[in-house]
Amino acid sequence: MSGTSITGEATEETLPSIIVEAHARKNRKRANRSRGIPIWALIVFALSTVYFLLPLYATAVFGFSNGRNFTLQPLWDGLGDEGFQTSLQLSLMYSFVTTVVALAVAAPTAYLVELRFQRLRSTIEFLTILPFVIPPIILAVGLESMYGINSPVNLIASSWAPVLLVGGYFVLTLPFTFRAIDNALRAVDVRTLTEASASLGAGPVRTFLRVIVPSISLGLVSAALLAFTTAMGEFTLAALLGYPTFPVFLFNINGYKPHPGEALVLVSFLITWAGVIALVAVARRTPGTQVVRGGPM
Amino acid sequence: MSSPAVWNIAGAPSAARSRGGRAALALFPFAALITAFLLVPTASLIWGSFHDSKTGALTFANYAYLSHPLDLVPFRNSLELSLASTILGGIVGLLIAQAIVSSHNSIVQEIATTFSSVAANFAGVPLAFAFIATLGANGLLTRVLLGSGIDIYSGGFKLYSVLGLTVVYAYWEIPLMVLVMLPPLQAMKASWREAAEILGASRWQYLRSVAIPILMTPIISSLLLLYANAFGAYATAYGLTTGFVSLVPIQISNLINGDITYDPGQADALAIGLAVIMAVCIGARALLERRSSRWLSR
Amino acid sequence: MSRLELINVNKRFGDQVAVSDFSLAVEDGELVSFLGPSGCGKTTTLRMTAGFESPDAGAVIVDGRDVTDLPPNKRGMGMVFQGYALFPNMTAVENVEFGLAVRSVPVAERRVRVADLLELFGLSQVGKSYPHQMSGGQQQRVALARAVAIQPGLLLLDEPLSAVDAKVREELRTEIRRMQVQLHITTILVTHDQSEALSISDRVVVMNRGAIEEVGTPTQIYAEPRSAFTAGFIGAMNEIPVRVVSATQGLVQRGGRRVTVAGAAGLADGQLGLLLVRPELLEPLVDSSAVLNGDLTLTGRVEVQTFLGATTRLLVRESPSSIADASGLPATRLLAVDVPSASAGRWPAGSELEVRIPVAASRVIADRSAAGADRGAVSVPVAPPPGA
Repeated sequence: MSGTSITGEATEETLPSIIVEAHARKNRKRANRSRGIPIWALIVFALSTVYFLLPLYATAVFGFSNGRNFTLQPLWDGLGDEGFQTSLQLSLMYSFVTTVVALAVAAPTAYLVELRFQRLRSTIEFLTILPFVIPPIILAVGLESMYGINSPVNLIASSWAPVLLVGGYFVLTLPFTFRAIDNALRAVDVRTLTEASASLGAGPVRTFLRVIVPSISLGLVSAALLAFTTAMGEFTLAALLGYPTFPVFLFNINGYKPHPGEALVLVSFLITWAGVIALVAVARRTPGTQVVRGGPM
Repeated sequence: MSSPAVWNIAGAPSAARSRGGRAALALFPFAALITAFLLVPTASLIWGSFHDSKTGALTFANYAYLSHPLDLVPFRNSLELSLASTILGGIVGLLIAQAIVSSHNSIVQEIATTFSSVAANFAGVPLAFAFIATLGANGLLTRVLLGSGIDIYSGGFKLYSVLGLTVVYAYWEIPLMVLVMLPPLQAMKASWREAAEILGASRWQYLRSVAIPILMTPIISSLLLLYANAFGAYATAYGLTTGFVSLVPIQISNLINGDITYDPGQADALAIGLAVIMAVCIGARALLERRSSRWLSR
Repeated sequence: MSRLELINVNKRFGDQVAVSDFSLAVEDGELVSFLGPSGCGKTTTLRMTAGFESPDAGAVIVDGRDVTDLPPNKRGMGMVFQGYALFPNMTAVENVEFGLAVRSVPVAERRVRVADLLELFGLSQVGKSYPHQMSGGQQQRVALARAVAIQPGLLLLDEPLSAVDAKVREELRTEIRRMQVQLHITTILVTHDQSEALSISDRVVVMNRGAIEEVGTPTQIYAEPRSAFTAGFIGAMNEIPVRVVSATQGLVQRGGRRVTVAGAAGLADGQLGLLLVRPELLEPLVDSSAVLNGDLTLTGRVEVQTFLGATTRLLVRESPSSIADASGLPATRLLAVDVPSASAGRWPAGSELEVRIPVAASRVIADRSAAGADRGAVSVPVAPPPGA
């Protein structure tokens, strides 16, 4: 098994971009060619497919009905709901900013650690693992304790409030983004590239932007997808700190408008699904991508 | 190690040092964010846990629960829930993972792992409501079973209970187990089984003497991951039960959100306790990973 | 009664033929090698003998008993796998005694037998070590010890030395042979390494594309290959086109000369044949008078010299004048001539030379390629053959 395996659990919130090693060794032994799929395995697959598709189907049935007939009206109601639109915009904004911040901070950091500060590697790695160990609920309490309403630095009620959520999301997504970038960096001979670039007269910033970044582009894409999807689906932090993001809205609307609510649940699922597929596609093009574990929500 | 030599050539010692300093400066954003949003809140948590929420006085009272954790409903429920969903997710997940490996078909493997990745992601609030649509009082499955004469609710089933939550948690614990157990299962060499066979062993003897001992470490390690996940889960539980079922994460949020139950100091202490549980699980996992890689690495 | 009989064994995977009509009898105490390139079916045949694959047709008979339908754990054979397949969770001792434990041999007896075996294989020091703590050679020997511990009637070795360092390989293969003889175990060895097969086998089965090409002793296989494939696969072999004049008399013609050669009997008059000669048997001539009446000669220019250690291989391109022959023979494209490295300086690249072809040490076979095609010494590798 190449690469590091999972050392932290993903909390149930951070999008579990569980991307399995894309180039899993294929069993090429002759014996395989002579056997089909065993019956018991087929049964297991059939049963598990039913189990996993059932809730989705039930959601669709409930979401696309008005209590009696099949109708797509609840979907339009949901999509047209003003709360939906504002909350989705808010989530998109936060996710986008988080992604940018995550990449802009994690990438140079990982690069510098790899290049110059090898001694700091274990410290940095520990710090990046820490959020793994701390489920969102704990982070939420900590942030509330420090930056909440009744606390020393009251960020929530100030105009700096968005910074709090972005900061929290940065920490939450750090394990995955850092690791995705770090792996990409380690697959490339960073030291040689940097020296070659420097010998040609480029300064550190230019080297980083023009030489390093392009060579780890896939890792950056992975990191971006991970950060974005995690932020889009994150509930705990937003709910406890009082930000009306999409997942929070989803929770609320299901309380008073169940049919549109369920329809939107399906929409949310499709967004998640798209994100994971994109991640899997990227992972497949990056040999050696290991399981990057986010957490189920 | 110092920066690439080339960047030092033109530099006088002070220039070189400032270059080193400049590089360290580039680490500042990272350090700042980590400090502000991870380390400081953690410190604040620890600090708050040792102070009475009303009077602000130094106290250990918030940690009183440590002496008898299982007397507390949230801990009992969390423990039950985590154990149940870990066992359920572990067994079913292992079965599916082995089915995937036994199929020796790369297409099946690809589909199954993508599927698992997606399923493992579908958690939290959306999952909760999907299950309400399935097994809620008016859920699809509930009604179908009713139609066939089985009334699960009169039989004592409630979705808003530890049992219900177990079923929901299983939805992502199972794929998680599949994904973490696939690599060790794939690393099991067919030649081990064949060697055992030609030496006269039956399938059961092989499992008992070779396969299970080898897989025991990855399995336990995976179960620890599942357990930690379940214990720390908030969104799914809250999404499903709105705090109706008392769990440790739910209790924590009640203590910082409720009007009557507002007690941030206690919340902090519980959060620290939760963090310790997480740390123990993850730490144990890391140790086990190192051991198993000796036998199963390629 | 033979220890092992494979009768007309066939196997296909999908529409790919893996093994076709494989028949062989292995006698007690023999070490027989299955030798051939990848994909020739040797491992599949071995696995069918062991019971890990079922033949589509044919039978596996052990000591007169038909075991074709028996599972591997009931056949009483020993096997060493490529990559050793030692159980990683057990020490060397535990690995070796596994088969005995399965047969419920009493602990005391087990310990004694295992200790003896470990000593026989020189492993007494590593008894308590785990596989990941041992070297490749040590793991190899543990795998062997484990296989013979149960005193099997038949020992199957699936490329046992391919995962071992080249240096250790020679030592180990001699040890395997020594052990095999000492314990008098009938053994089948699958390998793609010629020198391995030739150095320790009693007989060699050369396989190609699922079928047996030839069976013979190492000497026979090397010096008297009966098929073009064997000739080409084993070591380096020159193939020089000749025209059969009289099959019954064994007369062939080339470059205006006629000589008698073994092997012509199976061919037809007028047919194109290939004269097979090993590079080390060709001699560059210093003076033409040394040519005996029964020999052929060939002239050409040295294109390349390849240093092989003790010998140097000269690759010679035949000149048109050498082949001037009314019978329409194609030219020998490149001839390999092995000379002692000490004297190789006499024929540097670009120099002309005349080569004597000792017909007595050659044989002729049919040329199965397209008639009249420009054939050359096809089976002459420029680099040393694998394992040489």
